[in-house]
Amino acid sequence: MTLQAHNLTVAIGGKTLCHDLDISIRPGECWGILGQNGAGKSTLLRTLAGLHPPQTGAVSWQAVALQNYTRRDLARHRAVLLQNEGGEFWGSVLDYVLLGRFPHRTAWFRYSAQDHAIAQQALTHMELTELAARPLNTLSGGERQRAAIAQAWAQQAQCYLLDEPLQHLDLRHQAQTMQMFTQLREQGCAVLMVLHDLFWAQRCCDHVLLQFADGQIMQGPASELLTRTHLQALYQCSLREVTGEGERSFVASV
Amino acid sequence: MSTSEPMSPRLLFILLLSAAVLSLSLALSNGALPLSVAEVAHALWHPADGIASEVVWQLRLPRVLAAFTCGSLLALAGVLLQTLLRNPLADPYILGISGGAAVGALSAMLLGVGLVLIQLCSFSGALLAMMAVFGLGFRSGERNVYRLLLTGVMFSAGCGALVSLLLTLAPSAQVQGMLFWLMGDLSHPQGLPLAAGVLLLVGTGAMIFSGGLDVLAGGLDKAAALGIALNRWQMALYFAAAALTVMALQLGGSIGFVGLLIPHVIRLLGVSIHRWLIPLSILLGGSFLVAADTLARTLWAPLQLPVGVFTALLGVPVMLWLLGRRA
Repeated sequence: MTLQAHNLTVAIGGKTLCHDLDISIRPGECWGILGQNGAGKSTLLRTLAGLHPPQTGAVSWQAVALQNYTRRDLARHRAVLLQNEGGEFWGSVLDYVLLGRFPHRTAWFRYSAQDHAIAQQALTHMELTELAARPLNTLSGGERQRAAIAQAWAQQAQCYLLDEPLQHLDLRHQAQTMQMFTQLREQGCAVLMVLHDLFWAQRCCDHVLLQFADGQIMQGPASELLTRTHLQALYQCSLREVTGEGERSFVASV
Repeated sequence: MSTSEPMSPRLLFILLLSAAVLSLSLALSNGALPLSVAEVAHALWHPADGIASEVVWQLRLPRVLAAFTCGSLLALAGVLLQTLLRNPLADPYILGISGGAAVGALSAMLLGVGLVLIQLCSFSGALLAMMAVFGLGFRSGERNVYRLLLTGVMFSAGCGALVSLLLTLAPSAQVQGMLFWLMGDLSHPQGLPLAAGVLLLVGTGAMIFSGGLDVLAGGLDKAAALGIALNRWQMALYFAAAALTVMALQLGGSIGFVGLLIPHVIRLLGVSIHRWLIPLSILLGGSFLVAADTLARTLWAPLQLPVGVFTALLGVPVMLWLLGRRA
């Protein structure tokens, strides 16, 4: 149950974002993708999710190329949290979270009692139970993000590809979200997330992929790559290391 | 319960079912020969029993059923197109199908051919428009929906210009017939059994795939991530909506507002899950058009008015009121 890319070249709008990338995301691993704005993190994630066709190379899940899965089959195995879903959903929060059960749905007309139970559980995890009946488009940005995370969780996949899961979230919900995905990782899921927060990358990711603006990629264990030298080169600004209570992170020095 | 609390879909279904029965019985009893509901029931039960039976079976029932079917077709087409095009302003005519039908019908009228040929020309015009817009504008995917939408709008605009040209060229005696066609008129419905068949088929299909339609409504990228094969779904939606529209045009010309209005009214009442949105829109669309058509043929009797006037006059205030209530 490994998500694997082989010889992957990804381009968008004529710009090559990465070249001949080989990567394996194994069960129980949590990967962070870090890089500047516009480096192509989201496009790389979408390519790994099978939503963007690669220029060359292939992505495979369980050693079978993604294009050999039906879309529905694939959606039973991997969940994707998008930064921008490109849509205005008119239904309630519960309806929206239930969409995560769509790939698993067997009856024509309705979701099963089990689907509803899982959706309720997802709502509880994200503290949305009270908002379940509200129309999704009346929620705040952070609440909507939590609904999207709940939906991804409800999909109960073995591989989670998350594009900026922490966007719009307050500190408590950031912690809850990361805890939830850490738990999934410990249960044997493969997790990959695009992050901007170096603290969370330090804390939760065992592997990182640094995507440089010029298309260079560095990948490896987080402990080796999350150093000041690498990160300063990555973000092209000088960083200051901060430590406290046994944890360390980096902030941009002004 | 506050006024903005969404209504239970089940309750709404029962209400709209009653509204449908009410509008149908009112439509059957009103006209040049007023009948009581009991007389209508008697006539329906005894098809060959005097003048009342003849009026009900020969004159009113075909028209009333045509109106109901036409309204349902338009409402369902509206639901599907608003989901396909991800645009709340989409209505069955936005893709230029009615434009093609209008050019076909008006050209035939200008040539002075008979009713059957006029219908045939409008049908061919609609099919040509459907294929042309599909061929020029359809590419599957997130951003390409706008391309389809714009192609349809452009095509409509072109057809609109041709329609103006035809109206200018037409001798004044023919202009009124043309205007009736353009505003929608249910006095010569064609192909009711076929239209009802298409409605039944597409309606059932849409219900079976209603879960996927909900996913599509949540955003195309999301839908692809959740297992929807975008290309197939979008193509199916396009042709389903086009078939509904073509059938509606055959029944009543281009009747405005129903396809745009009805899905929004149901959504504003708090139902947006397709499993309910589809049947509720079909019921409301049908009843609404039956009511509008009954007004159109009785209000100024014996003069018959174009039904499109009444769909707008009734629909616009209701929609504005619902919008205001929500805000």
